[in-house]
Amino acid sequence: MRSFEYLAPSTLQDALAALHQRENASVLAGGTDLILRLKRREQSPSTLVDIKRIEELDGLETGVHGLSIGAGVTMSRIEASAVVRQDYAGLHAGAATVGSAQIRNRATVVGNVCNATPCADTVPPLVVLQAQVRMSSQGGERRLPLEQLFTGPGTTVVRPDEIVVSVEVPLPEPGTGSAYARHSTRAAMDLAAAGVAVALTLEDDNETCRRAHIALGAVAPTPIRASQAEDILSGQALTPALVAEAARVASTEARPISDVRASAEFRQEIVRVLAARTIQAAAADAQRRQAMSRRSG
Amino acid sequence: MMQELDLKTVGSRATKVDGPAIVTGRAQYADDVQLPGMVYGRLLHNPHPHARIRRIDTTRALAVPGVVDVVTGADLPDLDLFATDEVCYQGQKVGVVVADDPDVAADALELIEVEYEVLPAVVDPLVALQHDSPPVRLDAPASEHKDADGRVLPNVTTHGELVEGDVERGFAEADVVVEAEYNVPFFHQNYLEPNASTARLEPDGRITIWTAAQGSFNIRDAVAGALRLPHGRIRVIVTQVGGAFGAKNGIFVEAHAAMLAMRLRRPVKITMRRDEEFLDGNPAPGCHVYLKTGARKDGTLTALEGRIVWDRGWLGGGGAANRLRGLYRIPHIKLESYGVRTNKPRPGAYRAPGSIQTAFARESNMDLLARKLNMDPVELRLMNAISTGDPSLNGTPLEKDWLRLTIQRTAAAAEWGKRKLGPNQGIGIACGEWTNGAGPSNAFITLGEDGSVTLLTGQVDITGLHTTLAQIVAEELAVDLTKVKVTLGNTDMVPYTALSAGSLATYSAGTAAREAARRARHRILRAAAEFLEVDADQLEMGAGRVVSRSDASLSVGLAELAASARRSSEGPISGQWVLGSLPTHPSYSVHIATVEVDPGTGRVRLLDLVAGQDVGRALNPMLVEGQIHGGATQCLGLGLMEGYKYGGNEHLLNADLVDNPIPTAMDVPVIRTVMVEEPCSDGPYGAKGVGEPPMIPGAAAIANAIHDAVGIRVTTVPITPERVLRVLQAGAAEQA
Repeated sequence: MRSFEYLAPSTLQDALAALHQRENASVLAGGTDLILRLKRREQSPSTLVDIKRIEELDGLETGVHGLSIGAGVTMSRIEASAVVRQDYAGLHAGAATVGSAQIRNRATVVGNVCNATPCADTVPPLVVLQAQVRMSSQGGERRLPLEQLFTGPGTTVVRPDEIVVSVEVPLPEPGTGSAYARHSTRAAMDLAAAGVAVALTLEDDNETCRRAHIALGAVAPTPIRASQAEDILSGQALTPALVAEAARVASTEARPISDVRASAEFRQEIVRVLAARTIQAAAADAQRRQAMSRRSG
Repeated sequence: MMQELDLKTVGSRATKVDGPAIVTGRAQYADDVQLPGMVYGRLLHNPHPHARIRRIDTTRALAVPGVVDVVTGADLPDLDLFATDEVCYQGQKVGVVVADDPDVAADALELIEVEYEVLPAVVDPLVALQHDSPPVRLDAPASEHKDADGRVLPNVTTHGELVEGDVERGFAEADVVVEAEYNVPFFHQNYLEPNASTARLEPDGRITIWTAAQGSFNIRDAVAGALRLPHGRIRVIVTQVGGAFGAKNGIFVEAHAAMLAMRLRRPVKITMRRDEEFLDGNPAPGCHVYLKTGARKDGTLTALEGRIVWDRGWLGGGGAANRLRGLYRIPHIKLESYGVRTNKPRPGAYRAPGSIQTAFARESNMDLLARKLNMDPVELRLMNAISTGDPSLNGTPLEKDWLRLTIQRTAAAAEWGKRKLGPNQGIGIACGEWTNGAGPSNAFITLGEDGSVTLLTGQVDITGLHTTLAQIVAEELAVDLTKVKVTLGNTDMVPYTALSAGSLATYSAGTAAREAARRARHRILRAAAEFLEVDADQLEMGAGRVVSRSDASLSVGLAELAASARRSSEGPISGQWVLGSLPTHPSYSVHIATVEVDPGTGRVRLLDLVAGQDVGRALNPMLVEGQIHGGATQCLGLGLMEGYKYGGNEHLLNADLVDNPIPTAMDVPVIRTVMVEEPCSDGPYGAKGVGEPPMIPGAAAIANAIHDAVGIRVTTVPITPERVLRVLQAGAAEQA
């Protein structure tokens, strides 16, 4: 790698000041992607601002309003959280599938979001769970729906002087379940050739879909919503035929490319197969959550 | 059954003598070598599959602070270390930068300007085989090979034919015939440790090279050849080796480091990156196979016809076809082989070279035949397997019924025919054959004045060899294993020693160690007889002492004996043996794979693998099992995920471990091993070579299990989910 200046501020203020003062600085969190890019000389920042020592970014907060995932929160912490497993099953599945245990001990959810790779495993689940992104700069703070963050492979609307301080996920309303599945050749330590996340809200009958959110990973320049497939499910009973039809439509909404990992046709077919399975899994999760809330209520 | 020898240490599950150093990070690998005043080289690789070099300008690179030297082919008119006019594969070396710091060298590398004129390239061996293929090398000598119409085949470097009997008659006698075409890509050894070499010019003008290789002498000879120096100028010290699998038989950057060390009069280290290993390494060659097998209704094989086209990279070379017959009795055979050049790196050895690729085709065809005959695949193999007295592949008759025993015992362990399989699950069997090499090797034993024993050998340890050698010495001298220390001799210390390759190391060095130990034992007994004033034949050895059989009070410890031997007429106690060669025997491996196929995604999960192997005698069962586990894992990698992929522009797409994945622990099931111990008459204690056989049959066993699971045949490895799904959908379309 090329040489660079390394800063490790202990407060967000200092980190933002460093970014404000410097050209061509990069934010370093887990570094599981960034360090590789530095070694390959695909990216050569003149300064690395390491945010791992900033305590105020280290929070994983859960509450009645939802989940707040600070920029320092690792995949492992998400994986280990009982609340995430209980109420945000799709996100749990996405975080648990990233890399290996060693990678997950290091990699952060916010880092996964900011890298903006189309195959990021936590992004489709966060999208269907309607996550928002909180960004800070010396000029102040702003929020955006996660879906609006991405502009292309590896690019976002985050400005060079901004730090994404957290991802905020609202508590899914009662009757909502989520799921994520991806396809890769290896069982672990692999990247998704295609990924599908689904969040469904069921009516009280536990069969009719009130609302559906479907997001696809690795099949377009950015993670995308399969809105036509969502429309097919909304307000309908989740019969096998309906699920199959929604999955078929979702696969036509994918706009994959052929590359070394898979052909476009294969990716499209995988989206169809995974979408059907993930819709079913999300419905099952919704029923599970419903049953839990009834028991506790 | 196995003949009973009264063995104590040999045959035990002794832990690796170097295990603690390895697992605690103290073992010194090639890149751990640090010398005062050392500088670092980074290589410049050509980015095109085929091109002409128009111009190289190193001015800007030389101006970078910290850069010590920049060298290209123009600086070395008498040597072939760098391409000067034509580059024939992506990754070929064009130059090197040397700097105080490896990252500074990499910075400067980007400032070397090379102007290329891109030329047409070919990476598909079947395209390269044609008369109208682009030539892989413009400067190659004219090809002598022509097609049926008399047109010159520019990239064909070898053509061979193996004919036995009358293949047309054989097929006329057949009731059932199957034929298929198989593809195997280039695939990489993926040793954990990338290559690294350090060289230093010594005060006397000689050069010392530290490197991780499978044999110090081959490295010495190759560097001497590359630098046109006498062998005696070079000393090679092999460090701990972090995986090799055949790749590290030859040189990678050793000659470059040595050249730079001579030029700069400073120690120079060159460490390769992982992408350089893919681009500029020596992976296993790919091939295309057409194979047709005929049998009578009862399953008796009558004929085999085939053609194998070996993809030999930019330098071309040969490749045998006889392994397509392998281990079956077939009266009528016609096998043709071609070796073709392609714009790829030169392939090298990878664990059972040639056997893996041919076994995939042969054992897949056997499975197709069993299906068409409606016969059990195990029965079909047992019926046609070569047996005691039959000639093996290298002509020597089989001493024992090794192959059939291995098939039978592996099938029994896998509960073949008795397993209940779920939906989309299937089971498949395949067999492999390998005949290990032998010698030269050596062993030099010295008894220390503290009762310890040192063994010096030139045989490099890549598999646990030195642990096994220590066991052998401990056994023969009746001392505790902890008393034996094994030292690897460098090229100045021991006579020429073969590579630790071809499964020959334990077979050869183990024999040398046993013979040397027996000579040391004679010396010890003679010295003890003198010391105790009794006849040597009255004495026996045990627990580090020599004791009289008739009077237990008459004894002497080895330490005391060694000390007194200093003053004896024969001098200090030692024993040595230099081995030339030994007769060898084939050994067989049988894998039975159970898989589950996801019909939606095409993903194949290996549920279970039973790996049987004819090992002669397991000198250390734990180490033998380790070899079986490792080999089986590597062939499941080839079977399901590994392999070079090229894009439309003939560029390599996956020079990394993300897109050229190898199995992780999550992909490997519990591998159950079956060791068939029926000793051969020539290996140490009856052992045979065990390193290579476990790599051979797995890919075919998986392909056969997939066929059993979902009724489709995939004839190209790796059997990726996409390939499975494509064949599944084609099958569904055919039925519709």
